Amino acid sequence: MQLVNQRNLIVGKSPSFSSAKAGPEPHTEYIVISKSEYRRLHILQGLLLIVLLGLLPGLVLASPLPENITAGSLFVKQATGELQPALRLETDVQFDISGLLARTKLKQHFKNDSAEWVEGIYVFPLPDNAAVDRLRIRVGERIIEGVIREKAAAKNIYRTARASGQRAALVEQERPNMFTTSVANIGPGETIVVEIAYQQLLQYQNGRFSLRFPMTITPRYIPGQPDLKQSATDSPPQTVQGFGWSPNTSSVPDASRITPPVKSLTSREQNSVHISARLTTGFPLAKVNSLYHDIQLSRQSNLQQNVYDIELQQGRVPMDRDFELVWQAAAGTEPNAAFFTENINGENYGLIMLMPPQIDNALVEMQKTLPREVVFIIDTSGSMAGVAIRQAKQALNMALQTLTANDRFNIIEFNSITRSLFTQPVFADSQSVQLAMQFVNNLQADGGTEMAPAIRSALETSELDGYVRQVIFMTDGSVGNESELFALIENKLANSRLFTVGIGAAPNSYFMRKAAQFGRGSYTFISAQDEIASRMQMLFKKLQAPVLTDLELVWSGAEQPEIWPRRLPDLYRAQPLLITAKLSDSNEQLVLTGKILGKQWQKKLNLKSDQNNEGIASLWARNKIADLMDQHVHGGDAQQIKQQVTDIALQHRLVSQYTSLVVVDPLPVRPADELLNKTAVANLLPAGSQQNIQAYGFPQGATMSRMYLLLAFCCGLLAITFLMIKRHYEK
Amino acid sequence: MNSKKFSVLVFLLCVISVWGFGSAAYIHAKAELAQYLVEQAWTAQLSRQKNHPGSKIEHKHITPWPWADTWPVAQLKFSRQNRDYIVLAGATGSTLAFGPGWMKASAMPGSQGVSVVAAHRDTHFSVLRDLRLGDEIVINTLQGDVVYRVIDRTIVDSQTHRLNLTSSQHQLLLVTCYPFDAMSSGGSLRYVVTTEKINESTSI
Repeated sequence: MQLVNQRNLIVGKSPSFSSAKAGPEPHTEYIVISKSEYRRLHILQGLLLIVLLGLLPGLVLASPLPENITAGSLFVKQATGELQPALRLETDVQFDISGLLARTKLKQHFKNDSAEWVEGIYVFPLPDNAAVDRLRIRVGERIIEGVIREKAAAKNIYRTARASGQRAALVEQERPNMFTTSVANIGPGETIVVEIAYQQLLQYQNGRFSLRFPMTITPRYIPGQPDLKQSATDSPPQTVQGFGWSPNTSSVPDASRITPPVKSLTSREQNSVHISARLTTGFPLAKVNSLYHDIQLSRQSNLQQNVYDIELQQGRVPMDRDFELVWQAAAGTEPNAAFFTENINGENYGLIMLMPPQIDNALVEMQKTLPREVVFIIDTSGSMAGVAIRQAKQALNMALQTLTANDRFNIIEFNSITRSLFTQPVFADSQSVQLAMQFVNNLQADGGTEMAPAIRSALETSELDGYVRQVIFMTDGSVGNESELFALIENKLANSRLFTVGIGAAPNSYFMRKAAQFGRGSYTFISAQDEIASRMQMLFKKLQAPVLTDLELVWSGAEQPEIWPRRLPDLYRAQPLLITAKLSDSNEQLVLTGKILGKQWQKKLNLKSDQNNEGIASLWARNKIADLMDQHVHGGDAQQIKQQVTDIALQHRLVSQYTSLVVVDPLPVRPADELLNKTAVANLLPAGSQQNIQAYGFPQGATMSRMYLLLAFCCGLLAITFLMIKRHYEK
Repeated sequence: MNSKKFSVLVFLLCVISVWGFGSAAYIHAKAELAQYLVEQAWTAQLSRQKNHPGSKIEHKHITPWPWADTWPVAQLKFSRQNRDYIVLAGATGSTLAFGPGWMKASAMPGSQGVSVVAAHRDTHFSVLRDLRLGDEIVINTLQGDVVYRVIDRTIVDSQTHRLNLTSSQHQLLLVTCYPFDAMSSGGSLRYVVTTEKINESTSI
């Protein structure tokens, strides 16, 4: 009896089933197959068997068999016959966009459908420059506000509350773009809403503003040797430590925390999101659009300002790709300088945007005569399998066509091993470009993501004088050892410049931005077929135009303001300078100077603003934290960095590597004799990805052929039986 | 139940039945037939190697059919079971439908290091079920034959374990899904057969 075996397997694999009682609600039932039922199935034959066989195809079709059941996860059978994890997650996001800033409110609804008490763990992505400053929980009508604490202290508060049966929530940072929410003591049938809010600076380039919101995490590759001892002591369910599929390793000591479970699109109705946005601009807009979702746009009848309301057309959508909203100022009204301030506790914080002067065509032509040496790195690891590798190949082919015969180039592909097309960069004559295109078309995405050797080989190739050296790196950035790689880029860069092209529906934005920063280049994203051409075109323009270097700021007044980022970047074409500063009253004017192809230029800005803009102080503190964290890469003293970051984060209520937000409901709710089940919320596999998820590191080893055969056999048998019964009655 | 509805029901059941048999047959037919084409490509590759020894045309693999994104890398022989398969490059889902796939992250089959070959438990690697400790497996590569012996068979949970590819031993791991009789695909258990090189004989 295949069927009984199969169901029995479910019972065996998930201990929680055998102890489960019948749920209180009539529509909820647990699958429990006891030994006696099993025997009865064998005894009752004839008609019963026929009925059972009749039900079977329905069962097989309706419920995709629970692939992800592991010890500890609790599943509930719904009236519809679907198996669902006991804990469901729904998210509401609301963006309030104004000028260069966005304030985002995120509501995570943790819904416990089981009859047990549940602790939920959810590892989720946020924009890499998010300044998370607020946490509260909502239970029914009550709202409880969270506090900021040093990381270990926050965790202790949470643990104590969890043990004493109080509702509690904890938000911790794993990476600047990856956070964990833990919610304790969600009662049977109860929903706890965790509200998180953050401040963020928008992207502004080429007169185009954009806001990107990530919704899922592409499974990260974890290099290094597994540290079995550590992962054994950290193993669930005793601690809040890692719940991920990877053990901690020598290269990624927190791997178990950044590798949340992943579920495929078959369970698509889970992890849905509702998105709404209010867009307030000081200038008329040429267009507003959302790159990967359909939106509805309505304009407010407010004559004073340009205010738009945006909603998703489908209402709720699965969280399987990034959301990106893009808007463009009407021609001629593009802002090229802006100044916003906020006064908090007598301190004056400012945000300054300054667009450098237009580069004249003569300079562009001059730059074009300089021959280039371009090295392309293409990520062919398993996480790129599917749509991502096809897009990367297309983008790379496009890039090959822009090379001129004076340029030299090479292509490096990497997964677990690194392989380059030529041993040395070669001239881009038609023959070598032809060879390169063939090489690109034969690439396949499979295996690990060992980035370091590829980066090393791209940056270490011997350098020729008179060449502008550019490295173009196409990847989804799904690695867990980011800081190790940043240090490598920083150390090996020399005169090369590194440009990252983020590929896929959910690239690791933190890696893209920081790798480009340490590589003194720029970053861009390609997540859809129809934007490959335009984004690559933009990148080529950037690569061919001269760069603004040696930026310096001269402030009026006696006191120098504290500005972050402290080291000013080089600016590429149509890229503004964006800085935050803690100002004194005497700082009334600012002069930005720089060099372009050796020529000096400067631009002035008057710092006057009567408006108070909320959130500038948070941004300033967030920038300061990012800069301090970068000092790890520059070889700063870890203890000192930790102290400085902790101080500034506590003062501004920000979540950081060393500080967390925690909230506790004073009322205990869970009786001392009831157990608490720990459940991890899985992330959806990014749209278009063909990565093998259940078996990370192991290939998949089965087809559905047996299932088809069983189905065919049962249906055939049933049809014959029906016909026989009919014939019997007709007699 | 009136007779018309009854007929419709029986008809539908028949349709589902035929579809089910058809889908299953398609999977197996694809697995069997592809091996013929793959074998031709492999023979062509071997003869090219014979005619032009030492030539290193790395990017010109002979693919089994013009649009294939994979190519044969070795022949895998299960001596006692008298079964042999051509191993394809890449252990992705699209490759495994046609034959056992070599995980490109691992060492080349037949070379020093840990090499991993995977296949579906219900098509090519149903043979793994009958493998016993001490059984011999021969890998025929462009460079000659390498003989391996089964030294271990284990069941691992792919959600909690990872393959260790860093060992310097000359090993070949054969991986397939477990349990062999499970109905659906996508489970987390894997059946891993570890084999170790015993000696090298010259090309036949």
